[in-house]
Amino acid sequence: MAHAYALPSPNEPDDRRRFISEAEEQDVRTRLEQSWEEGSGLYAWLTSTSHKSIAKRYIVTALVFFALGGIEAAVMRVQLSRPENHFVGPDLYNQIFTVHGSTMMFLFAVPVMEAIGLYMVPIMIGTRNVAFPRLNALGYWMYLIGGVLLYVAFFSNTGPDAGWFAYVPLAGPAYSPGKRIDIWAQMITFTEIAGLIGAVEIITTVFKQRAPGMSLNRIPLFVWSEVIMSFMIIFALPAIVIASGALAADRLVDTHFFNPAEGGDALLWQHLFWFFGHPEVYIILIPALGMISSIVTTFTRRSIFGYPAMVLSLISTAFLGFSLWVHHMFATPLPQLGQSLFTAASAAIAIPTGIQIFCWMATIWSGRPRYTTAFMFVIGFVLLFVLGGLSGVMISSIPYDLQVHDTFFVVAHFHYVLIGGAVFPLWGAFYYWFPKMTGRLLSERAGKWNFWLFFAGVNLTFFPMHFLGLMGMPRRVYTYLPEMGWGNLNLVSSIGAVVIVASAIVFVGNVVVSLRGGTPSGDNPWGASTLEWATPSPAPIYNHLFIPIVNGREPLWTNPPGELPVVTGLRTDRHEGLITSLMDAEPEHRYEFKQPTILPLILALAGGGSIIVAIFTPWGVTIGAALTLLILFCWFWPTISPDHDTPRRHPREMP
Amino acid sequence: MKRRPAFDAAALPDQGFSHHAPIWWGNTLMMMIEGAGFAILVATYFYIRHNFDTWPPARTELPALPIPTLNVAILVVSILPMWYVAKLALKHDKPRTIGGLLLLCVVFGVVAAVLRIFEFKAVHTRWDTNAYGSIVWSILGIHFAHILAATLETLIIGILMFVGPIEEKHYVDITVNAVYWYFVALSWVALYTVIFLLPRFL
Repeated sequence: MAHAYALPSPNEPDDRRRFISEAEEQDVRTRLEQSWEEGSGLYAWLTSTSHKSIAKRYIVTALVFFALGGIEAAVMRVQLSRPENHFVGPDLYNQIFTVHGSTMMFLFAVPVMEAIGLYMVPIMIGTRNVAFPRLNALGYWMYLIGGVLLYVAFFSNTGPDAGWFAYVPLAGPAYSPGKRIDIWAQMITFTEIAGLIGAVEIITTVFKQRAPGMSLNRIPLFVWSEVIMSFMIIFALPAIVIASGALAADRLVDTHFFNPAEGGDALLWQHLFWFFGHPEVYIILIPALGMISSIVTTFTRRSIFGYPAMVLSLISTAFLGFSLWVHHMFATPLPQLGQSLFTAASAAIAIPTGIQIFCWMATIWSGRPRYTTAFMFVIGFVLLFVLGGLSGVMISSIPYDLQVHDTFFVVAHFHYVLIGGAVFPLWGAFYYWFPKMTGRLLSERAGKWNFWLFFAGVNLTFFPMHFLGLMGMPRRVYTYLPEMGWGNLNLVSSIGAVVIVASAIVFVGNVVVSLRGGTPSGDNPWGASTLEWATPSPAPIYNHLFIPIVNGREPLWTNPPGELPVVTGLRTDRHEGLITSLMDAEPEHRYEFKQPTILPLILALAGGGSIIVAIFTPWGVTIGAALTLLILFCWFWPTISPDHDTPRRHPREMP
Repeated sequence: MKRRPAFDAAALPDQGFSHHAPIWWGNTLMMMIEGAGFAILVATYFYIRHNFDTWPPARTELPALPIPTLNVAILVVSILPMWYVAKLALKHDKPRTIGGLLLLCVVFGVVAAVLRIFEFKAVHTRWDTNAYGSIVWSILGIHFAHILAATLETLIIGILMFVGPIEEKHYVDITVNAVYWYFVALSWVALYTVIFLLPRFL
């Protein structure tokens, strides 16, 4: 049957027309809207498979969890603001710091970094959707259920209370009876599934769906960073899947993985957890580095200095990130030689990180920097991350680490690297990409307030913690005696927390006001160079009216002004995209994206429900497996499009 | 923004096989995830080994060999019909032959699953006996889930080949399913070696 093609045009140069007329564009736009529009209403919302609407939910949900984690932090700071305070008791305090850490790591940092990728990457590489749209929806629902599970438990006084890394034997059946740790272990299961799904989506999409001409050496650095993060997820997360499964089994069906009496091992938990846990830090950091590269390029108006060195640094950071896990275990009786190796690896990571920082400096030095809010957050990143890096070099030395292990010095260190290294670039990215997501600019004036309050607040909160740690204050204590002399510094730290809250309020206010009355941004408010700026803001559901063709690393700067070479001839009567080759992005074949469906939600509810039932009885696993297989049967049952093509005998033959 | 048509995709084919197909990458990444999981399980196995003086632990018999060896042979042999299926699918040939061979693979899968139940007995330990039993049962159980999943997937495509209608993308699915089948079968060769053979030498 005849298909509705978007402007077929022969490939012979003589027959090529100069430009596509407005009328033709309008015609294609109407047809794409007809076939891609998912409609409004609750059911359309629940069944959506658009990468943008799913990623937007991811971002909003992650920010809600960030706010909840922040409120927990604020409660802790109130409690610690003076000695012998009784604002919260020891049991609640244990739950609060555990839920705070788990929220920030599992429900905020990793999901939000993936979510920004799931939103921006397909637009930046010029494709219409992620490779597996239904799977993508499943990932979000699993993540949502996991997060809700943790908070329902927390608000009913069943929040986990053994710290965010749940060390055994404390987290084992003997010392943590009840369901608190099981909640933690199953929340992990949910977020791991979601994380792995996101990683598969991002890698496949970038490998096979780049715009023609976007060879490996023309991929925007942010896209590279998302791909590298995804590979880290693929190799790191299986360790925590196995570990949390083993912990849950020890607690539920009497296995003995971590029970020394029956040949199990408490240190095994630490190895498995940190084999995931350290790469996790880089899973959070690497996309942030990519965001910085995007922002630096745009606001210095030049392409990044040392692009190959930047990509290779990202990759080597990822590799080294897998050989650092033991530096979390320096206080355990591991062989000296092994510990020294991990010290060396921990110090070596400064090399690729340093290369990147110097490349950014060279870019800024030789460019024409514009000090927008996004760019300010990048500068804030450099300052905070260097401070956190310095304390990191200190604790990579074993004798020093033994002195400050489990003190507030470590708390200061990782908040500097995580907030400086991830949250600052992320906020820069919000200011940078907010216009692309909403069509409105955030207020720059409020943005400057947001930045300065945040920068001051973070330093005020966490810098005194270095001294508290050196004075011997252990982490995770719910209060302390006045004679210890920790009161003043703790009070300063708590005042800093108030400043951070103020900056958060400014940010929320800025978003709310700008959404209603912000300056309309137009397609490319920053004069940036990458493909996401070659489409309207917010991007239409099909992302690009025509798939763009890329001739360089900064296509919008190197094309003749206002011109864009494009692909024509994709079908408009179904969700069709273009598949290109892995290395050089040469067109290979066309590809049909799956249509919206309710199945991902049903699968998440059934699979998720049974994971929750498994907290109480092992039958949850059996029921869940049966239900899951049944739903997967429906999911994989081949769909026949009404206008399907009959198979050709030779796939390469033209019709 | 003025758009200049520079490439016409209308003439491109609808599907690509092997690494040209996104689903092939999805499957490859899934195998990497599961392969990493298996590697972690094996590492855990050897870690736990160090907590015991003898392996298997005292008062535990060596795992029995006959049924597990038969099962690993069945899984390896099942690769042959699957490989032939993939070859036919590349040529878009004979849906009924493909369907028949797929159903044959399903029989292999069902037999392997049934034998797996006896393998749980062949290890002469229980999951709650000690850490040795825990890790051995985990490896058996997790791979069991893989056999079930691969068999079910093969069953669905096998039935489809008979009831139709068949689209070109289904042939791509068949070749990707075959790769997953190889993974399930061959990963068991490694895990079988760890669970059933190595205790004789450790």
